[in-house]
Amino acid sequence: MFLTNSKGQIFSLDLIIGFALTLLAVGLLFKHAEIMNYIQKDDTLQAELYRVGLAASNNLVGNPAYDCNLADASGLQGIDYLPNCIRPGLTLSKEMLGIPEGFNCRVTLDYDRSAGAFDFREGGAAGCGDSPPAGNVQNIFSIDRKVALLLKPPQSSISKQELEDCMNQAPGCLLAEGSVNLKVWKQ
Amino acid sequence: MSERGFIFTIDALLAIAIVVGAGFALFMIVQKTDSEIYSLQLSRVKADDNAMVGFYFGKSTSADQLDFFAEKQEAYCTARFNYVKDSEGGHFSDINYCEGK
Repeated sequence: MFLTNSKGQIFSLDLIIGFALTLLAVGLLFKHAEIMNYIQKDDTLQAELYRVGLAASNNLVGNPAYDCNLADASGLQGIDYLPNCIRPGLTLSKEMLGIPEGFNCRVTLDYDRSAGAFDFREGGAAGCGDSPPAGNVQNIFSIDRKVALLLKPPQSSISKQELEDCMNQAPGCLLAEGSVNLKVWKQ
Repeated sequence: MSERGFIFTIDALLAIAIVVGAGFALFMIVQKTDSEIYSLQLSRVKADDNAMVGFYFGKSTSADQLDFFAEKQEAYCTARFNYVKDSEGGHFSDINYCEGK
């Protein structure tokens, strides 16, 4: 049995307006929740890509496996590794760069090639020689890291004297200034 | 409870709504978005790279980089002549000797 007011109406106008407003508020709430959910998923994906890409670029410029080896005057005994200095003859690998399964990468070098040739291998499928997908550029992490490239035969070290020549801007410096671009994306 | 049977007055409800709304707005304004944080981090990375590469090419002379160079000299001399730091941690005389200064 419906309760009626003194005018014989079941619902008042206030109640109907209130009900409509409540429905509108609930609808807006659901829409907002859906948008927030989408944004959160997108942020998670971007954050994962960012973390993987930045860590890989740090491993590329700060990894003893890829860094120039500073040797003593004899050139035989290694003393230390130079960050942001890439040794010749390296072969990139996803494992060494810390890129997990499910991600692809591509590394390209940009430097003044008239200064000399730099021996560099992308490493194919196990390395960073993948082709980036065309179109959807939003989900590719790309970073340029400034580096020095050692223009010597593969497996060579840089001696203290050779480093000092570059630091003193002497002619015949065996380092070339350049940048390495790393792109990482999800398969 | 009021004499009409309501627990909250409209004033109280409005006050609560304003406080909650202002708090939410402040939270949204103050918090940094991920992209802002990424941008800051990448600026730092770029500055570090520039400093490091500038150091190799003799383009920088900041105190930090001189310290780094001193460490490299020490490492070189230690490896070449088996120098050991003295008890006070001083090593400049050794480096000077190693460098023939």
